[in-house]
Amino acid sequence: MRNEKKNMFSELDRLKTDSGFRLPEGYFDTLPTEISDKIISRQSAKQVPGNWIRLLRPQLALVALFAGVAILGYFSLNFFSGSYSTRGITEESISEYLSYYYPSSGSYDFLEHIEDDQIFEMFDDALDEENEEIIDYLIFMDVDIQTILDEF
Amino acid sequence: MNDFSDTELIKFFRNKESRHYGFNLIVRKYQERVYWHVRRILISHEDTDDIVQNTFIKAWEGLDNFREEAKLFTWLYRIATNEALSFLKQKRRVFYLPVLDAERVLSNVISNDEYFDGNEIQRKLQKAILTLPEKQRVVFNMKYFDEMKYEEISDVLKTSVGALKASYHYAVKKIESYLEKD
Repeated sequence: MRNEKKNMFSELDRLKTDSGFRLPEGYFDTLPTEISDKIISRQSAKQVPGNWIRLLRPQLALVALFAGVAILGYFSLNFFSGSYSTRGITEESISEYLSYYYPSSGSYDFLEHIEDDQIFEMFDDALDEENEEIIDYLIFMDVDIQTILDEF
Repeated sequence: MNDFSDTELIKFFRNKESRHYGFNLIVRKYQERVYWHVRRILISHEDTDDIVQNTFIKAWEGLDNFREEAKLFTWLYRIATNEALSFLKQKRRVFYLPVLDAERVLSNVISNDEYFDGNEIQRKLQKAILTLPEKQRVVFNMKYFDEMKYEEISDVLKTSVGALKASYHYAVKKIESYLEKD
């Protein structure tokens, strides 16, 4: 039994060099070329989109230029025609809107979210020259916005 | 086989003028070792051929970032092992095979493959190796057939030397008991 086992493992040692696997004749002679061919074909496949982009570059640049001009034109037209202006909206409709959708919010809550400069702009139209002196005085005396609004 | 060192081969590869030449030399130097390593995992020649080609294509893509802290051969072995194991996993998923059935399929390949003409004891040894879990099989093959040092296997598989020793020991025991069964 022990001898059988010994024989089996000495046979196994021989199998280290020949495990019974075979391969097609000349396989290792052609393998490097096959791999190189695959690498080259992959590289050229990767370059295809690059070539297209290179060929179409002038046309693409032209399209991008027109798109840029169109976008600029659209926004400047809107800006100058004032289609986004809120001048047409009356103060009554704004206060109705606010009291309907935000019943609990007072004018102070609303003004909290607006910059001081904007607030002065909003009231600029409503102020005549006589009142300007009063406002200047209140600002000089550091009276806050809420007090000014309360005065109105 | 060429006599260039790995450092020289990598230098060839990194030079634009000799890139393809350098890579061709790398393939020629290591193709046989990589092939037999993958073949012992996948058994079938056709599958092995695909995986060996993928291994070298991946090496081509990654060689620029290869830091020479590791040996080129170890790095190639690592790519080949990962490719072969993920191929097996993918195959199992495609055919909805549990691990045991997948090993049975490989075992059948040994019985029917035109590129396997081993005698009864060679066939039996391969079937015994196929009873091992995948990673253990890889460890056994690297130690037994490639006669690699545990430190080298550890570099390839990123597993501790202690774990590898235990794994190899269990693998040998299992193979012995399989061979003694009949």
